Amino acid sequence: MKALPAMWANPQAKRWLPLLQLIVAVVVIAILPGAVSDTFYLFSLTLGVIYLTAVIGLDFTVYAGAVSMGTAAFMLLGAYAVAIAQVHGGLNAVIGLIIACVVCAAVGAVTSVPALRLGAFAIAVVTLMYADVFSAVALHFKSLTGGGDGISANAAAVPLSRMWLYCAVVALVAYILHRNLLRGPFGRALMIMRRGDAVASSLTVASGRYKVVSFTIYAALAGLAGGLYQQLNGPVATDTFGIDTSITLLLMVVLGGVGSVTGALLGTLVLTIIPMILNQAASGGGGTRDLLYGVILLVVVLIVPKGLAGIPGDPRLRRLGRRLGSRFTADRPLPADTHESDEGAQRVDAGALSGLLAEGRGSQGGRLEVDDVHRTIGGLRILRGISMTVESGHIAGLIGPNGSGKTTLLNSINGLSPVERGHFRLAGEAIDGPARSRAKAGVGRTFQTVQLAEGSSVLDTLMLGLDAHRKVPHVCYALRLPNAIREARAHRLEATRWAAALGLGEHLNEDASTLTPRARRLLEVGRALATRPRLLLLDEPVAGLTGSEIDELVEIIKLVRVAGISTILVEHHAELVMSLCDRVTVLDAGEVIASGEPAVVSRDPKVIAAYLGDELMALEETEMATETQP
Amino acid sequence: MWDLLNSLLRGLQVGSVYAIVGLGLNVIFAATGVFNFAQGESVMVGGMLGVSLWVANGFPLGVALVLVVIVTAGIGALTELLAIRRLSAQRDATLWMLSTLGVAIVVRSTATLLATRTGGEFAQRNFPDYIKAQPWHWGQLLVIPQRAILIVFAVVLTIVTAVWFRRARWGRGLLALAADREAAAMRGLPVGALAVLAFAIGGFIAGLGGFLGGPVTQASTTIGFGLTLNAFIAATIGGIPNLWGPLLGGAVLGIGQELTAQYLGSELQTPISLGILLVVLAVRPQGVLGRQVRAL
Repeated sequence: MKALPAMWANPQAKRWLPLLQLIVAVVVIAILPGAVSDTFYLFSLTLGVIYLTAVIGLDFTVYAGAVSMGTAAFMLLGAYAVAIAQVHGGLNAVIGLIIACVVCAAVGAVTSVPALRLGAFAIAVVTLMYADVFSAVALHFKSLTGGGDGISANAAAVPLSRMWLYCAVVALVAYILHRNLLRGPFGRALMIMRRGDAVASSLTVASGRYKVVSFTIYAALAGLAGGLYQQLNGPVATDTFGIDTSITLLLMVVLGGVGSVTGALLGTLVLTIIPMILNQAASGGGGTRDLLYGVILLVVVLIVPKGLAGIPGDPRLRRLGRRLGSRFTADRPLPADTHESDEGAQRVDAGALSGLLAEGRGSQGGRLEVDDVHRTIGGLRILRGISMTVESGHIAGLIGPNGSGKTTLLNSINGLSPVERGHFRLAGEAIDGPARSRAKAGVGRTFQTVQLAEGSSVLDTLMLGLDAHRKVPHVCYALRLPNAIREARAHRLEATRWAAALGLGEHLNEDASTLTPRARRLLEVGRALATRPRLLLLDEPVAGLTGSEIDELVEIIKLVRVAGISTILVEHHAELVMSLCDRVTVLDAGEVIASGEPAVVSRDPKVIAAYLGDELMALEETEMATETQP
Repeated sequence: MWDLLNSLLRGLQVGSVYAIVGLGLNVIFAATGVFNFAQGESVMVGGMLGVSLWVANGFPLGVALVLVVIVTAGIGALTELLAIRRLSAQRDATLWMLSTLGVAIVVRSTATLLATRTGGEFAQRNFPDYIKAQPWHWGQLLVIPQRAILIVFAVVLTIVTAVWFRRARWGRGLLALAADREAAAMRGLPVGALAVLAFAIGGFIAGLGGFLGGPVTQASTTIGFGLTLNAFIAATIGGIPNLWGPLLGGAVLGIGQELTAQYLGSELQTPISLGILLVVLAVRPQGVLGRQVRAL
C-alpha cells in the first residue's frame, strides 16, 4: 500500500501518467460497445460523449466568466450546418462537420463581442435569447431549413458502435486540448481574470481577448456537438435543442467543477447516467428530472462550488478526515492546521533573489517621468498637474494624507486609471497605452490588498508572472508541441527558483489561499518581479505585516534597487519611507507639495501642515530617531 | 392608423406586465446587488396559484390574491435565506446567478409536477377576466377594460413603491443598503433582515403581477424564463436600478414587440427584443433614466 503514494510522488512516474491515462481512455472507448449490449444504453452513452464535447467548450467560457445559457443556439447551428451541407450541397459528413465548426466559430466570435462587454447576468440573458433568435432565423429561411417542419437529413449510415467510436474520439481530442490549455498559460490567464481586469492587465493578460477566444472555442465545440448529434439522429428541427439542453449542459459544467480538467467528464457522466436510471425506473415526466436538476444545481453552488472535481481537495474533507483519524488514534496529537503561524518558515534567500533579479530588465533603465498629469472623477479634481521623476534604480516614496491621490496616481502610472492630460515616459519612451501594454513595457505592481488567484498554486502564481514573456503561442501549448514543452519546462524551473528565493519553496504546490498573510504578500511581490519589471509599483506593501516580516520585505526592496529596478512605494509607515527611500514626494489634495530627500522633506513646513495628526508625530519621531543616531 | 393605435395600446398592456416584473427585479437588485433569475417564476406561481384558488377552489377574488402574494413573498424571502445568504461572503456574480437559476428550476418543476398531478396533462390554465366590463370603442380603437387596467396597475404600483422607498423607515433602510452595504452595516442597520425584505417585496410584486396580469399572460408553468428575460430588458432600457425605469422600458419593449408582430411577423419578436437590448447597452449602457454606469 505504501508503494503507490511513493510512485505518485515520483516525478518520473508522473511524466508517464498522461500517457497511461490516454491508454486507459482508448481501451475504454474501444471495448465499451462490446461491453454494453443494450442499444438504448449505448445510444445514451454516445449522446453523453457528444454532450461532453459541448460541455468542454462551455467550460471554457464559464471559466472565463461568461455563463452562457445559449449552448442550444450553437448546437442547432451546427446541426443545421451539417444537415444543409448534406441535403443541399451533397457533401459528406466530415466536410459538413468542418463547416459546422467553422461557421459556429465565426458566429461565436461575432456574437461574443456585444455579449462579453456586459455583466454576468446580462450575458446570461443575451445568450439565452440567442437560441430563440436562431430558431427565428431558421423559420424565416424556409427553402434552406424547411421552416417549422425541419430538415429531413439522414443519420450517418454506420452501426451505432462505430458512431460511438467517432463521437468518443472527438470528445477525447477535445478533452486533451482543454486539459493542455488549462494547464498552460491560457488556464493561468483565465484564473487570474476572475480577480478582475485590473489585476489581469497588470500581468499583461488581455481579459477581453481571452473571453472572445474562449467563447469562440465554445461555439465551435458546441457546433461540432450539434453536428455529431445530427449524424447520430438524422432529422433536425428548431426544437431539436432548446433551453433545456442549454441548462442541462451548464449544469454538467457546474456539477463537475468549472475550470477543472476532469470536471466536464465527471459532470457529463453523472448527468448522463441519472436520466438512464430514471428512464429505467419509468417515473415519468420531465418534472421529476428537472426538480432533481434544480436541486443538484443549488446543492453544488451552495455547498461544493468547486464541483465534483474539487471534492477530493476540499479542505473541509481534509479536516473531517483528520478529525476521524484522531478519534481512532486519540493518543497522537493533532497535526497543526495549515500554516497558522510562520514560526520556522523559510527565510528569503537574498543571494538567490539577487541572482534572479539580475536576469531581469533592471539594467535597461527604469527612469520614470510623470509630466503634468490631471485626473477628474465625478467633478472632483483628484490629480491637479502632477509632475515627478524617478531615477533609474531609485526608491521613490509617495506619501500624503488619505484621499490625496496616491493610489490614483499609481493607477494612472500603470494605466488602470485614465488621465485627461499629461504624459508618462519610461526610460525616455512614452508609455501612454492601456495597462497591459505598460506591463509589457516593464511596469510591474502589487495591490493594497493582495490579489492572488484563489485556488491557484504558488508555482502557478509565479509562472503567471513569467507568462508575461511567453513566446510560444497558445496553439502550441494546446497541442503540446516540443517548443511549448520546452518553454513550460524552463518557466517551471525558473518559477521554482523564484519560490525558493522567496522562501516559499516548501509550499510550491499549495493553494495560494491557504498561505499566511506574509507568504501571500511575498508571493504577490514575487509574481510582479517575475514579469521582469523596470519599474515596480508597491501599494502599501507592508500593510498587515509584523516587525520581522516588514524587515524581510525591506530587504527585498533593497535587492530590487541593487538590480537597477526603480520602485515607487506608497506607504503610511512613515519610518519605513524615510529610512528606505532615495526621494520622497508628498501629495496633498492632488498636488505635489514637496519633493526631495527624505530628511529635507520631513522638515518642510507645508508637509508638516498637511500631516496634522498622528502621522505628524510619526514623522517627528522618525526625525528624532535619525538625528540621534550616530 | 387605427391598427397602429391598437398595436400601441396592446404594447402598453404587455409592457405593463414587464414593468411590474422589472420593478421587482430592480427592488431586489438595488438592495442586494443580485438579479433574481427566479423572478419570473414567482409571476408564474402568481398566475397558476391564482387560478387554482380563485377558479378551481372557489376562493373569493380578494382572498385568493392575498394568499397568492403571501406565497410569492415567502418564495422571495426563502430565496434570499437559502440561495443568497450563504453566498454573500464572496459576491461572485456567477454564483448568485447560478443559485437563483437553481431556485427558478426548482420552482418551475415543482409547479409542473403539482399542476400535472392535479389537473391532467397540461401545465397550463385559462385565466378568466376578473373585470367583466364590456369592451368599448373609440373610433376603431378597441379598449378592453380588463387589459387596459394593467397600465393603471403598473403605474400605481411603481408610484407606491417609489414613495414607500422614500418615506417608510424600512424603505429608507433599503435605500441605505443600496447606497453602501458596508456603511449601512456599520451604522447598525439590520442588513440581513433588509435583504430578506427586499426579496420578499420582489416576490410580492411578482405575485401581484402574475395574478393581475393573468388574463394577458395566461397561467402556464413555462412562462417564467420569458418574463424574467423581458423584465430584465425593460429594466435595462429604463436604467437599472431606477424604480421608474421598468415603466418606461416596459412600454418601449412592449410596443416594439407588438409592432414587430403586427408588421414583421411574430417569430421575429425575440430577435427584435435582443436588438433593442443590444442597441441600448451599446449606446447608453446606464439606460435612459440611469445616471451612472454600473456593471450589471
